[in-house]
Amino acid sequence: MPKSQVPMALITVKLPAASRTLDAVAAHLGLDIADFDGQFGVVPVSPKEGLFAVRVAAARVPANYEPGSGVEGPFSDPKIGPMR
Amino acid sequence: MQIPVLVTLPAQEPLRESAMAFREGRAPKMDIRHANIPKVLQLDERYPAVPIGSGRPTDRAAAHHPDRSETFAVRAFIDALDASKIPETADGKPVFCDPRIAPFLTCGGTAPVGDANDVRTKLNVQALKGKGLDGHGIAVAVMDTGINLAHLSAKLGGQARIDVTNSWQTVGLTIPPGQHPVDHGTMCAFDILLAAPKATLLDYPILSSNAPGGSQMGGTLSVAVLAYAQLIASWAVAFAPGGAAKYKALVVSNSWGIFHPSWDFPAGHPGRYCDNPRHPFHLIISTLASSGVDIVFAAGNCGKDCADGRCQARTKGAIMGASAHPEVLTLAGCDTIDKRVGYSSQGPSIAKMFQDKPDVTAYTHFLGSEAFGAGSPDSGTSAACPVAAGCVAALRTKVDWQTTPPKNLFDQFRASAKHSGAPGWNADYGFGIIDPVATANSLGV
Repeated sequence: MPKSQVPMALITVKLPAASRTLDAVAAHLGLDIADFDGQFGVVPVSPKEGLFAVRVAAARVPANYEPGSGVEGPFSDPKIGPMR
Repeated sequence: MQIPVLVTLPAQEPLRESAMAFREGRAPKMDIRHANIPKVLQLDERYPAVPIGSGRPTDRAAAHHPDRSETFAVRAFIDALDASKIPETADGKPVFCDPRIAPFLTCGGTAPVGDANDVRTKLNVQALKGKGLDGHGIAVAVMDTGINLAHLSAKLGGQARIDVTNSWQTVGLTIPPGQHPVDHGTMCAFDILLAAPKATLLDYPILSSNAPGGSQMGGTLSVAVLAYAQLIASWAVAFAPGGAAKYKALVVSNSWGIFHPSWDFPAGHPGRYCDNPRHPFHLIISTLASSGVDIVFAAGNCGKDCADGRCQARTKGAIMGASAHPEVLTLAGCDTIDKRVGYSSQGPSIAKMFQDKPDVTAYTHFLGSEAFGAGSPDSGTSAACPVAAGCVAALRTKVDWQTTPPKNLFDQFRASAKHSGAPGWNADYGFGIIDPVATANSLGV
C-alpha cells in the first residue's frame, strides 16, 4: 500500500525539551521512523506540558496506552467542513 | 383560558360604523360592543370589524365597502380549557382560529437580507474609524479554503492586504497565497475587512482540496493541528515583541467545524474530538490563546429552525469541538434586521464542553463578497465569524494583547453586546449582538 494511503493515528507524547525530533519520538516509542507521517512531523500541542502530537501508522498503535506512560491516543481526526 | 378567535357576523350598524371609522382614521360614533354576537363570545373591542363582502371568492372589491358588505369579521375571545375544546360554531356562526404569527426566519435558501454597507452601518464602522480602529498593524489568519485576492480587491474597490511570507506554505500546497479559486475563504476574507479594512490577511487554506490530507469534502482536523502549529511558530518568531514585531496582534478566524458526532469517534471513546477537552486540537487552541492570540469560531449551522442537511436533524448540543472551547469567541448569526438566522446553532453546547455557547452574535446572510455568484449572500455562521473577527482586529489596533489578553477582550465583547430579550446569556444569541463601538468605549478607547 502506498504510504499516503496507510491509515494513520493521531497520538500525543510527553517529551523532554531535547527530544523534539521524529527520530527521538520513534526511539521513545520503540517504533521505526517510517511508521510516522514525516510531513506532519512533531507538533507542539502544549509546550507548557511538554506535549507533542505525531501521526503514526494506526496498525502500530495499541487500542490505548498505559496511564502514566506519557503517551495518549489514538485521537480522532474527523473530517471538517465549512459552516456555510 | 381565553382563546382568541375570529368569527364572521351578518352586517349590523355597530360593525359598519366600526369598519367605516377605521377606514377613515377616526373614532367610531357607536360602540362595537352594541353588536349582536353569540353569547359564548367576548368581543375584542380593540379590533375593528373587517368587511368581507358576501364571504364568496367571486366578490368584487366594492362588495367589501363597509356600507355594502353583507358580513364582517370580528375578533373575540372564547372560554375553553384548550384549543381542542373550541366549538366549531357559536350560535350557528363559524369560529375560526386566530393563530399567533411570526415573521419567517432567514434560512439557507432565503435571498440576501441587506448588504455589506448595512453591516458596516450596524457595526458603526465610521465610529470605529473615527477612533482609529481600522485593523492597521493587525494580522488576521483565515483558516479556510484559501483567498482570492483579485476578487477581494475588485469587490472592495481597493487593494486588500495579504502577507504572503507569513501565510501557510507547506508541502502539497501548490497554489500561492491569495491566488486560490474564489470560494468560501474569499467570502470570509471579505467579511473580516468590513470592520477592519486595514488588517493584513494571512492565507491558511486548511479546507483546500490540496491541503495536506485534504479532499474535495474539505480536510481533516489534523490539517488544522498542523496549521495552528505553524501559527504558534510564526507568532513566536516573527510577530512577538522580542522578534520581528511586525504585527501588534494576531486574530484567527475559523468558519469550519464538524456537523455531526457521527463524523467523530464513538461516544465515550477517550480519543473523541467533539466533546473531549483533552483532544490535542483543544490543547493547541489553549496554547495559542495563552500566547495572546484571539481565536474566533463559528457556532455552526445546526439551528433548529432550518438546520444544514449535514447536521442530520441533530439540533441539540450542536455546538461541538473547538466551537465549544472556553477560550475562543463563538459566533451565532443574525441578519441585518437583528433577527437570528434559523440555521444558527443554539446553545447549550454538547455535554462535557463549555456550556454557555454561543458567546455573541454577528451579522450574516447579506449581499457581500458574492463569492458564490452574483446575488448570492455571504451566509452561515461562516460569515458571522469573520465579521466578528474583523471587529476583534479593529479593536486590537489600539487594545494591546499583553494588557488586555484574549479572555479579557472577549469578556468585554460579551458584556457590551446588544441584548436581545432579557440581559444575560441565552441559547439563541449568547450575550447579544456584537457592538464593537460599545466594546471600545468600555475599554476606554
